[in-house]
Amino acid sequence: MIRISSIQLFSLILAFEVGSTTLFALGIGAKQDAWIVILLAFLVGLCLLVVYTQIAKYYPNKNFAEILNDALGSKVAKPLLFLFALYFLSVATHNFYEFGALINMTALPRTPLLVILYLFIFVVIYILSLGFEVLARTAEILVPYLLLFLIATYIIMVLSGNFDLGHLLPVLGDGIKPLLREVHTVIAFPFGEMVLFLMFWHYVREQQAIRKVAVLSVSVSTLLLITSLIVIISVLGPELAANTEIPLLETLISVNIANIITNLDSIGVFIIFIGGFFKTALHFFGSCLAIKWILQVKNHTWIVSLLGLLLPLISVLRFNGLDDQRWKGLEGVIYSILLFSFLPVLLLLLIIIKRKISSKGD
Amino acid sequence: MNDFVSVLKADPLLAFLLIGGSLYALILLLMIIFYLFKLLLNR
Repeated sequence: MIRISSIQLFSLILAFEVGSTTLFALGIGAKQDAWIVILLAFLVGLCLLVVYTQIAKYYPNKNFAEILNDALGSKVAKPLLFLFALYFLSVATHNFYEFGALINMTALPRTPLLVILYLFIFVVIYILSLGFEVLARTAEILVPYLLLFLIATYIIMVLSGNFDLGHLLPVLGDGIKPLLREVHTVIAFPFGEMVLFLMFWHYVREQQAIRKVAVLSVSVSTLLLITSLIVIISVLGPELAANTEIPLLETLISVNIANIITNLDSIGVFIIFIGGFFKTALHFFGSCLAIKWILQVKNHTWIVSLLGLLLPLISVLRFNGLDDQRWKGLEGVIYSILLFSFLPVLLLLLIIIKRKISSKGD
Repeated sequence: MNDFVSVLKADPLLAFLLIGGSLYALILLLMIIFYLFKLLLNR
């Protein structure tokens, strides 16, 4: 039986949450108050996390398919599991394409996108075919480096001379309305995306520690996101941060300390790649697991391999470019994430009511 | 709103997910109401 430790779960959640969010200035529609948007979204995200972990508490060591079967009956559960599989695949294609395109843009401009995507997916297939434990161990090894690089970039950016906290003023200058207009996007991305971990709770060795670890990890990620946003806005200013394609990279490129510490974009690419890898791999594996449970097969290797080989083609067929992908992501996928992250709330309500009925029957 | 509709037209997978997800939200709500009634009648 595959089992992961609490530290591995912590690392996975951290890599997942920080993941592609380093690419965007989250909640930047609220301009200099974007960091308050993240704080508000974090509060809602915590409530969602309590719901997701409560489901795991009611069904310790049971996978999501077993939970759905028990709560809804297999006839209702299977199509829902299929929808979840498609939803995870949809988000995986978004992450996959986005990171492929960004690597293409920043590091390998003369390599065809499809080649980058296939190289990327071969690594994902290899790791996932070895099992979830291997992915968790990879996270355990790489996340300290991710943290080290992130914190180092924050410190360097603060010391670069372009850092001006005055860009964050006035706080709530336009009132609270811009915050409320933006908050749903940040609730969905990255906090709502935690719904994916419903597929993985049963792998955790210490089941009673799931909530504690998850809340701690999401809190640390939020701290990193807020710091990242404050640094980006303080260096670029809210207008430029909103209009730059990859704000973190733009901020790093602007760093030049005495002509010695310069050209730091390679660190940015490393941060982006690690985050992108885990977001894609986890969403993709979530989709494969759901398909495995629907088909009731024991070994997931062939599902991972087959779907993995198709993923680059699906991604390239689905998106006509980075602009098209971002447009579809911001205008549409946000709502699908919101919808699927709130479905477990209804599921938990149903589980609670059914438990009350059965306890009365006893 | 117009943008949202054009995204749905451009991305059938997303449209399918949103329609399917909404239907399921409705089914779950109906199930909750059904079991709530059951709970009330059992009292």
